[in-house]
Amino acid sequence: MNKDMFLDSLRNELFRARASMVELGEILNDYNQLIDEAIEGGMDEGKFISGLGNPNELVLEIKTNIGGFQKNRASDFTLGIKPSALKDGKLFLDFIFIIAFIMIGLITNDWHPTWVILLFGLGVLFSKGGKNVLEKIQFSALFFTPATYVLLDHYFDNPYLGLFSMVLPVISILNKNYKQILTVALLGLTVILGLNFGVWVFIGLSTVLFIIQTLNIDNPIDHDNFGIFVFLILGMNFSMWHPGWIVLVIYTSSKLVIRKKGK
Amino acid sequence: MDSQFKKGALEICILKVLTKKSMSTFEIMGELHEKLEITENTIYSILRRLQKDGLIKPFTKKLPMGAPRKYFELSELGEITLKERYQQWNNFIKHVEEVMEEDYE
Repeated sequence: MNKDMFLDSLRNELFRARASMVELGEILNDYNQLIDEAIEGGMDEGKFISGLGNPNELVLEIKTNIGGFQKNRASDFTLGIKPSALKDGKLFLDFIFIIAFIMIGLITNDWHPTWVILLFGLGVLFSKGGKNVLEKIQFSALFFTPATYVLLDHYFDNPYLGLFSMVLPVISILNKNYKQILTVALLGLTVILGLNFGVWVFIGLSTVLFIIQTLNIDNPIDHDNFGIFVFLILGMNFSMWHPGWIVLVIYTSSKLVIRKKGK
Repeated sequence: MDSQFKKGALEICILKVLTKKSMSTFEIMGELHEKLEITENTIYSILRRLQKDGLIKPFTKKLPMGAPRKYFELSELGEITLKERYQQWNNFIKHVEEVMEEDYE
């Protein structure tokens, strides 16, 4: 196991143990520095990391010795733009898509489906998180697929358009991400119900479940993209794409500005 | 040796090594890991507890090369606590030795 893999695994374990974001950031920084110092001291990276043991046991050890993690508290939050958003250009990209959305909306006065541009923007942003080309495609498809679906649904009134959502599981299978088999089955069942009986009530929920599982999100309510989940359910289940997109814009903007300390 | 007993001793040892100079987590581990046969993760978690209790203070040190590093130094409370615990530890050891040297036969 190398440093990145160890830190990724540690991050997941801390998140699962419900460590506050401040503690999570501190512990990850400490172990990052620790491993760097060990390497600089001439130690073998792999050997040193394997000596550290399983991140799961490490989290348990910390939890036991410090008497449990702090829960997320109001004091964990502060106002300001996330430094990481400035560093990797996310903020700049966000603004480009938001400005494009406002300008096209103002010129055409067709706010629906112009807001779809925001979904494409999120797809581009999320693709940056993928570790390889297939994962980048998988992450961006989570947004490109519903965006394309909304556009097709707006211009063509075809009952078989629900089938378009099957693009997502196909990409997952290509990416050998078999963990979501139950969610894929639910999505498939939803599409079958929709095509045969015109019942599309589960489409939003199953798509959101699929996204949650693809991104390996443990706690969707506490997640930065909770607004997107609500928006997709509003749109896909209740056809409230408009004005549902307002939830998306407000929630995403607030997550960008109200950040947790240390992030 | 019992792990709780080791952890108690480890707290005193961490406080003691920090009386010499401020150190990074890695340096503290280098001093204690092999001597006390305690894992790096236990040392790290005890460091966090000592920090939480205000016995040691973290600070960032700029280095000529590379990113700034986190170091620890002993706080005033840490110095007082070290003296108290070291005294308690010595008394405890003394009493254990007395018991062990006693002839119970």
